[in-house]
Amino acid sequence: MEKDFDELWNECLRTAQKKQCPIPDDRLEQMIARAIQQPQPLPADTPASNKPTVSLWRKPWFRAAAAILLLILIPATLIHRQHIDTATIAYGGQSLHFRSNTDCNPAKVVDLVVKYIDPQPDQPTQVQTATLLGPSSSKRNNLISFR
Amino acid sequence: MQAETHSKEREKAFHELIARHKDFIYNVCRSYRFSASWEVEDAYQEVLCTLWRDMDKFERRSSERTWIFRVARNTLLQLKRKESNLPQPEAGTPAPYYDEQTPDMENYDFLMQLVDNLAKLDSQIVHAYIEGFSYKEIAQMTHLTVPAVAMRLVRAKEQLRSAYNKAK
Repeated sequence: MEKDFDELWNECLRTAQKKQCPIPDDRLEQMIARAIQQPQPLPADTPASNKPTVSLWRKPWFRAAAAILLLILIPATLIHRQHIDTATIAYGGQSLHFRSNTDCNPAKVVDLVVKYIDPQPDQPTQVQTATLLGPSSSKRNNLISFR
Repeated sequence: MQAETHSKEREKAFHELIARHKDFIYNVCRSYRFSASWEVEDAYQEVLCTLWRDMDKFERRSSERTWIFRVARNTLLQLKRKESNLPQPEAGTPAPYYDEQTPDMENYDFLMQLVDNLAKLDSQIVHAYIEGFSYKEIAQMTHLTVPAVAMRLVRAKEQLRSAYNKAK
């Protein structure tokens, strides 16, 4: 390290130029053979039908699309199910909440409302209407008429 | 049958390529392998594998030496990145190189260590210059103009000089 930098530089240039590969020929042949044993790339003009096919599921874009679809479908199904057994009726300025053990469809809600509002079914009742407020947008604001 | 002939021709071409440039490939591997963690021969094997795999991609727009240098450099830089995760040998451990460690080689290793600390492009230019490439070949390799290569080489050499003087 006592050398001047320029001396070092020139010495290294000479050293780099004169180096010969010290690996014996037979050893080098083995190394070349090992490199050649790697899977060969297909020639550029290989027809597509001869190329190995890859399963769709192995393709990253397919996996990503499937994951996104599941992420959308599963919550949508759960959300729909969550509110399927409740209903809110606006009647007489009040909100009446009903919970059903079965799917909440307007006919069943009517049964519930009738039983609640009109506990004496053998007596005539004025026609009343109620607005079904829930659970889903498709059932919102349906007017239910009952006796 | 046609595929077999193509394969044999490719193997023959590869053997001839390595025979022509085996010293040069070794020089390049040696210049990047001053750390004791990897043997030069392992690096040489990796470079051979990459050259074999990418042989068909060589479009002959540059010389064979230029192409080999570029491929070897990329392969060796990847190896160095992997090497940095390995436990480093103790200071003073002699490198397990194939050839003998002479004082010339020690100085050479020291300079290469300084070259490695340069910016990536400057390091590539200095490596190529040390390996005997002309300014024109280096310009082709790095997509720079010849004057730009000359200027970068001058600046890189000054940085190396400064680093060497600090280390003395």
